[in-house]
Amino acid sequence: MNIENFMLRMENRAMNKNKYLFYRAFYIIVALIVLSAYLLIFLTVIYCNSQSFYFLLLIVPYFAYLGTLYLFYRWLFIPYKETSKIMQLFVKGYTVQGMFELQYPFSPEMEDVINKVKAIYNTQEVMKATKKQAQYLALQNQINPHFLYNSLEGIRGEAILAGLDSIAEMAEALGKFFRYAISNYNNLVTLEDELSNIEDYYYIQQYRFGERLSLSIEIDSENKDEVLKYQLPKLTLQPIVENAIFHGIEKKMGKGHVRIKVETTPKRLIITVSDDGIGMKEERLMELNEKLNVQSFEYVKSDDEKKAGIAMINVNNRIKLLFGEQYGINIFSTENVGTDVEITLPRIFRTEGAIDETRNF
Amino acid sequence: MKQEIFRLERVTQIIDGVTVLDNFSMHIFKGEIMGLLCLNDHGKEALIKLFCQNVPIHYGHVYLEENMVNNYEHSSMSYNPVAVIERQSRLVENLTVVDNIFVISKGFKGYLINSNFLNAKLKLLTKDLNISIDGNELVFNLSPFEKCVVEILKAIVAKVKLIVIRDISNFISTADLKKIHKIIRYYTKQGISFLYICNHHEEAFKICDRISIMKNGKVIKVLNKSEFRDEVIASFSLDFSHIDFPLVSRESENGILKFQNISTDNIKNLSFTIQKGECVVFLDMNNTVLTDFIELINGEIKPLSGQIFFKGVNYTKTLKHLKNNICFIQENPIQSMLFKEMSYIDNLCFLANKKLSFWCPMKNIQKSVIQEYEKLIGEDIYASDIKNLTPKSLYNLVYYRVHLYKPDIVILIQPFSDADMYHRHHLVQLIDQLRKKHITVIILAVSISDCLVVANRLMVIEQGRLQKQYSSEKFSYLRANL
Repeated sequence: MNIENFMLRMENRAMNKNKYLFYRAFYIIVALIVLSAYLLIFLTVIYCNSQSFYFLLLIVPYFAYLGTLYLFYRWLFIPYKETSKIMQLFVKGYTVQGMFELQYPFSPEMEDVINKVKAIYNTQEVMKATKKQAQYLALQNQINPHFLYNSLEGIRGEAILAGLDSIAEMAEALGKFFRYAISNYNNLVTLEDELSNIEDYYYIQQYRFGERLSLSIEIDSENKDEVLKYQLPKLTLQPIVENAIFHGIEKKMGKGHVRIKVETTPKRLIITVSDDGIGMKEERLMELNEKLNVQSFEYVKSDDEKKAGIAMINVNNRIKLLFGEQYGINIFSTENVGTDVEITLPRIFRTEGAIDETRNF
Repeated sequence: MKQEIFRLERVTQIIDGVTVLDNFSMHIFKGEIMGLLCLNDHGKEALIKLFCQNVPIHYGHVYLEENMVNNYEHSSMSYNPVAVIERQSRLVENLTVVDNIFVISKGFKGYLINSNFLNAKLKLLTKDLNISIDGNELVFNLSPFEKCVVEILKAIVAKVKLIVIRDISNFISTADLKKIHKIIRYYTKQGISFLYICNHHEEAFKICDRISIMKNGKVIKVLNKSEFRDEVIASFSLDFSHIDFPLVSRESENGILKFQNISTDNIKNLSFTIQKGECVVFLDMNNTVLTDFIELINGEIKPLSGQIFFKGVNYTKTLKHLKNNICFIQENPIQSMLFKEMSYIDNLCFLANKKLSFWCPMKNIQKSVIQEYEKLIGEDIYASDIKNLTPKSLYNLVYYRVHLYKPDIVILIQPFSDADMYHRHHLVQLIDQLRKKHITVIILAVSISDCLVVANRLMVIEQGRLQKQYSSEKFSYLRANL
């Protein structure tokens, strides 16, 4: 949203306050509070002047008055502030889930409206769009992937027959890589599969970068076998590693290193992909982090040629849609130092089909 | 599997329209020492408050042991099991050590206080730490190190999950810092997590498991132990490389200041000579000597034995006349050395007034001071209210006041403590300005900080005695070993 339009709307809103029911109700409540206070004070003065003991009876209305004020604060003011804040964050794009799980809607009708919006929002459609986007980014130019995969197998066979082992190995890695990207797209995969795909990808890239590129995978856990069985959305790591290589290391003079570090807690799986490439400028980092925080799918239909970062936003959105907005991607980057991408996921140790159980909306 | 104690997830906090925490993310595991290297102070205070209490945030989530305790939708204002140890002690000074540790604790439910029983409990706590603290001693009488230990023990007894150690090297000595590090390591093995906040990476490298580098309220890099190298940090820090100033006069026997076999209650037979224009650092390893040193120069105490010579003259005998040639800049001077109700120029000329005769018209003097110093200070020199000026401008005011006064010696007490990297860099430049004017600079410090950047010589004082002297050529060796 254009910030100038937003400011203009805010100004118009401030000028036409009486248009909104909230302000009308607010004015009337304030008027009632002031009037009640005035009446209480008036009665107190009258009773005090009459010097009768009846004025003690005023203690009850005083307490009732204070109680009403307290109720006003706890039951109306605080819930209103919370709802209002969530709505503002929804408008700015920070949250979608918060809006759909509103604790204090203004009225039953409003609740119905939110439910209707939720239905229109149709997350399934958005999911499809992001998956397609991910597939597209992974395959870059998918004219006929099965044909491509079969051709690669053919090349591999010919290379083995001709004794060209390096070509055979590269064709095999390419074939495995494409097969992984195409098959069973809707399911979660194990970390082991995802890391194996990264190793294939690294193997392919090594033909281009040679010794300039190195990769290390660290699993910071005593039970590595169990960690490798944890599940995550397919093609979560590959776009991040690709970004690290092409936007970090490729432009750097000399050798570059990509490190994947896996950590687990009882509820989370934390994967950090670090590179010691050229990093990014602070403005670019801010722009990217803003896009990662704001849930928007504008990038899906974008024809913008500047593709860097789109893959990362796509992965982030897929994670948030699947598991909720408390998960996702964080980026730390410094120019000429490198970039760290921290991916936070829930720790899932389940069989296939778990995806629907973990969805939040 | 690692247990997560605290997690701040994309926290943005806005206070009075200023974004103090910007998309801040950090997680701390059980038994981990997480370092926080603050390149500037922006957001530091807000972050510590957020660890302690679930205050409202603009966006993000806060988890304690993987349970959400604070988020942008609702902040309960409840307190988290977190203890903060900083310069300003949170102990009750008029109560004893055991009262502070056990009695003023949330979990204490007894009606009768059995001090013998509490002392025995304290002994149990301190047994493995190899530290002896008298449980019946009033906190008021404890040293900064002992207070720190008591605060850590209090936190352990209160069963906190995280202890925030904030800029500890600013107020405890280098020798005591090593002991504190030992204690921290001991408790990490018991599962307590620490957030170690400091301004110097050398300090953080020695103790932390991971380090988050924070700038302008956001984490810009998380360093793992394998990345604890000076060259990695160099990309984030300012260039502190420095041109050495040659001495303005030839080395003389008496120099500008000479201590000859000086002894006081805490100083033992201290002898040294400082030459004119030199910059000397006194590193007090045990934090016991500095007070006596300051009191000797101020004339508040007299040496039990030995003599002090200032420009070859017996200092103690002619103190009245010579004292005006020595200036002090106290620790955290922008808080303690400025007159908030006076204008910038009045503050600047405050010391210079001492040197002027009664008949000099003040307005003309201020006019010429403005002419001379405007190019160094900038527009701020015209400020009538200094309360709203930046810390950088206030540091300028303190140091240029001395620059204008031009004493023979200026004694700086812990000049770099409590200053972030940008301010420390600026302070180095200000000290250079003093040295350009041939003012001899003496730095009194309990931790090395950035003192070596400006110094010609370092004197290490241990247990009141001058243990070693190092010239600037040997500083690189020292940085690695101190």
